[in-house]
Amino acid sequence: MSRISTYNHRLLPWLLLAPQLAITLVFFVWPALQAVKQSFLIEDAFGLSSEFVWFDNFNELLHSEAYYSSFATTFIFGIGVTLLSMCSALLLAVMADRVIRGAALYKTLLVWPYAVAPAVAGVLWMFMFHPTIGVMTYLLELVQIRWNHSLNGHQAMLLVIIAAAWKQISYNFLFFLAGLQSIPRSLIEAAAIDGAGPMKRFRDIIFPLLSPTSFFLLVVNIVYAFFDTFGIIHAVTQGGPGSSTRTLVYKVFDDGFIGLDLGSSAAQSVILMFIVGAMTIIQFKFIERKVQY
Amino acid sequence: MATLNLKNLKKTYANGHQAIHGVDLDVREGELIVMVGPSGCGKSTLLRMIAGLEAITEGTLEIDQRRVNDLEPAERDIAMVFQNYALYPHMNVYNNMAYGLKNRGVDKAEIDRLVRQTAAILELDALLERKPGQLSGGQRQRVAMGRAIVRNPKVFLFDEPLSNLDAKLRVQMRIEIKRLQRKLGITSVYVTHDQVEAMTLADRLVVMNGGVAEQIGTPMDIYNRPQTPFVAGFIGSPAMNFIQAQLHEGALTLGDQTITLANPPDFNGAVVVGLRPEHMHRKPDYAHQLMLHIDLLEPLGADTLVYGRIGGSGDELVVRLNREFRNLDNQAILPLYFDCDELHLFCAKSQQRIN
Ligand SMILES: Nc1ncnc2c1ncn2[C@@H]1O[C@H](COP(=O)(O)OP(=O)(O)O)[C@@H](O)[C@H]1O
Ligand SMILES: [Mg+2]
Repeated sequence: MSRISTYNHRLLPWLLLAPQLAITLVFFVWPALQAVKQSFLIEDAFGLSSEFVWFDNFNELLHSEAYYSSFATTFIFGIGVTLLSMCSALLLAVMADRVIRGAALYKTLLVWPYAVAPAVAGVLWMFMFHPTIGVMTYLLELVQIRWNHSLNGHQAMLLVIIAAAWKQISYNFLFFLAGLQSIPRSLIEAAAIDGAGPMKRFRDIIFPLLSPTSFFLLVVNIVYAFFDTFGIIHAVTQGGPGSSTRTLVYKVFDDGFIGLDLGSSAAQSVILMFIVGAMTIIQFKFIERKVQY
Repeated sequence: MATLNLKNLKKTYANGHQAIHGVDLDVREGELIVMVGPSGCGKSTLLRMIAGLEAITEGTLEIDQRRVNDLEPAERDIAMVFQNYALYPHMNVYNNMAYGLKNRGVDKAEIDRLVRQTAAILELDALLERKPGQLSGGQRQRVAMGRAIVRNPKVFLFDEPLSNLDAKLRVQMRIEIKRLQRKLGITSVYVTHDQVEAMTLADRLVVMNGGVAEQIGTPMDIYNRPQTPFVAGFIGSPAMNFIQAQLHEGALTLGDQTITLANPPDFNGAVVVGLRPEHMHRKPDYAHQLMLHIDLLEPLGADTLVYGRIGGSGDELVVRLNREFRNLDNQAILPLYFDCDELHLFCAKSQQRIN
């Protein structure tokens, strides 16, 4: 006997799916296809005519010094943001896990930065470190550090890393805290009886048990740093000085809307789509296997 | 082997709740002490104070005559078996057992020898490479035991270690624990809410109630001479019957009947009479008689439990009779016989034993 229910309406399932499909098609698939199409074309400077050029746009990118340097910038930025935000969040979560009085208030305050829009977060940090009027600039001056991120590429990179990481700490914090709280207290107590001090307990018990959470956050943070930080970079440095904070995503914008090289910009978008796809596959593969412990 | 001394131990939690109201206990070398009591009476709290997992608010705790109040759990040289076993899920059985030794700087070859020797005792040899997630409940329990034994600690602490097992395995592990404890001769404190487990395991029992040790003694002492109605009702199954009664000049009035006690205590007034279900009989070989108005029969197989009341008193009674009693003729009133030596008399006011 078949247990699969049969519907007489062939149309009904499609009708029910239609809204979701429409949204996906209009807002995701169509623009993506447009980008793919555009990546095979070269337009003249006035946008009046376009020519089909096969893989010329990609070819050009792969031979472009600037593109590789943007890759490098993105890696440095991505690793910096991921490390900084995950380490700070873990530290805060470990401390929050121990707080007994006022724990709710503490946690709420830590989650707030997540509600701040990226551009606003960028502007906030930009003002704090503003070369002439910034509070932090003034304080750094007192310890003999000259801060001017509009001239110094390293400082600019450091600033966008801090700003981007700051916004992501809340998210990581919530996951780490949930992870910590799901570790049974008796495990920690057993380790204490087994002669492990606080540092050793963290290294041998807590950290390994957090590894599924950490891996999940690692992927999420890299994706965030690579693709979701346009607003912050735009507000703080506009990719400068020079191209020292021009990440791949920012370069797409720069080349497409400032340089008006739509073909190259589209080709870069297509490459980014592949990278996101690959990362998603890696993440799903690992989540399926649950990160062994 | 070590002694363990609790001197007027008290515990008040951070929220102001006083969980332990002063407990005194001297545990001899190699003795197995069982703390038993209803849920929430403070058993775990007391055990965790001994382990060093809860701070001691007041009083002194000594292991081997040395005050250990302010020592970390690791420095007290104790081992604990937790209710949920608390095995490290990411380490295999071997490393679970080796972890405590590694932390104490024992050298590798010695660790290996100790772990394998312990595994052999507990029949865990074949499981050393497995992770806890790949073990059955009983096997996890044994690994938890192994982790405790391997370090050869001064004191073993057990917090309801069998409560997550099914009934059959529980009996089996209970016997195994007792055998192991005898063999190793390690001073142990065992916490349980199960009075059968308590009776069968204990060298001495500590019956706890509301953060107080109500009575300390051997299982038979406590069964034979419970000092309070609480202890009397907690130890023994089915629980002891209690009847409100009056004692006057050696004459005990239970409902509408009065019996004369052979060895009356020097007491007049309201008393609570305790009489165990197994101490009422159908054969008239005993000095005293009471009439039971039968409500209900509960055949258990080997025995039959009879529920009822005695005339003139509202107190419900349960009697444990031989399975041959089937009450086929629908008797409403059953004459039962008992010995007045089996009566436990408590002052109704002070709740203390008077005979
Ligand atoms: N961390 C704590 N803070 C406040 N009260 C607690 C805490 N732990 C236990 N208690 C209270 O102390 C009493 C004894 O608890 P516990 O020792 O766990 O009981 P048992 O193990 O006998 O069931 C209970 O009333 C419990 O609610
Ligand atoms: Mg308990």
